[in-house]
Amino acid sequence: MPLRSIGGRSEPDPVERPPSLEQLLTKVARGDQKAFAALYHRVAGSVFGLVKRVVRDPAQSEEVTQEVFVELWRTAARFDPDRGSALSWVMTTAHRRAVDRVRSAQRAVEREDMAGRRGQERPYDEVAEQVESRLEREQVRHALDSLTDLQREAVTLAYYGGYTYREVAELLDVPLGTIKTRLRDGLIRMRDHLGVQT
Amino acid sequence: MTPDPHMLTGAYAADALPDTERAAFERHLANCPDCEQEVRELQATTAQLGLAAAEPVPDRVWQQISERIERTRQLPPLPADGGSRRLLRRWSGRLLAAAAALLLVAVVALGKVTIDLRNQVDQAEQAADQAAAVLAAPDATVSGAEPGSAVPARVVVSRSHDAAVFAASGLPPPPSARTYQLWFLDAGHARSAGLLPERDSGAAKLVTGLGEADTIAMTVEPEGGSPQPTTDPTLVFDLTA
Repeated sequence: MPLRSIGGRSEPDPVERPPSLEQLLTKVARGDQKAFAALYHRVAGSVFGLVKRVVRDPAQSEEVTQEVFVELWRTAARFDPDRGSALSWVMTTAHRRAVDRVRSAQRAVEREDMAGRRGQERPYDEVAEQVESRLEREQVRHALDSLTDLQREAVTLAYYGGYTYREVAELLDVPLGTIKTRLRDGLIRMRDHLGVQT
Repeated sequence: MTPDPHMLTGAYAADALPDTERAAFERHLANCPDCEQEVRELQATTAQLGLAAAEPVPDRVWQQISERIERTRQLPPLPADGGSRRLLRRWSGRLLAAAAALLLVAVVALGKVTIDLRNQVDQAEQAADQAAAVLAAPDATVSGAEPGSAVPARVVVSRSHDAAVFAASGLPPPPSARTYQLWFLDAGHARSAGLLPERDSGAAKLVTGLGEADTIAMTVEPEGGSPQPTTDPTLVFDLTA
């Protein structure tokens, strides 16, 4: 009789489940480069896709994606599971980096002629259309569809467009307070629609 | 600050706040569990929006990242993160009381060495009143010096009073003809926050004119202080942490 049966290990070994992102991050925090590579391959497409949606330029999007992962590597030990999931943390980091990029110098120039553009060009149509055509997740599409037009425009301009709420207000010609409210109630409605758990 | 910061959770989760408002809202978040919870949920929601945008990444991106992490040092865990930060918040009343006591000792000591006693005591009393107001302010937050500091030190910051109380103990006397100077840093720009009084080893100081500062730092400067820092800071307090 093999010894292992005495140790209570007679049951077949459970199929090895892939580690959770949280488990990977714990290892990354200790300098485990293999865990970091695994983490990368799990979320790189999502990070790159989101960054590119905001930044648009593919070369710059690659740069920002690099910055995001170097930051994840650097700050892995500061991930706090009490404040949300690892995936949420990764995507928040990615989005913030992307937004920082588009709000730097290049955007400052665009801002100056924003008043001039207002009313003629309506960039949110373009943004919303891209979202429509490229959405991979039906659920998210349905959640977006469940919003009022103004909520959807506010959410997509802010999140995919990388605009500040002041810019969104100006683009949509709606008071600042209204945009703040629409962003909040729009995301709350999406949260409920998606059944988001934290 | 907007009249109702609770309404900003959506704009924050979508990263639609300009930098200054983002920093202000993060200060509110630190003290508002309801908003913290809502932000957590809305960030999980925007994460879903992000996932929907996924697309294939060129292989060269990983190549470059793997080279960069080889030469990138990782940050240590925060000494007061997560649960312990919450604990710190609960304890902040006691910390504030301790800081107040330290400040009073400093004020009394300052009073002893003055020649123009009356005038100085008035000033000291005024500073003590102002410091007490900062320490007791509902929005007061305590920040410890960054890990690795030479001496234990804290600042208590009240944005509503536009002021902070700095306190350090066991501070070595500055080299001769040198003085300790405090700075407000705002996105890398330094403004003098005044000189530390010459004292034995403990030091406390009320600093006003905080503005939008995200960091308070202390450097060693030539006697009389400098218009801009000339040495690397010996103490750094990250007010956004």
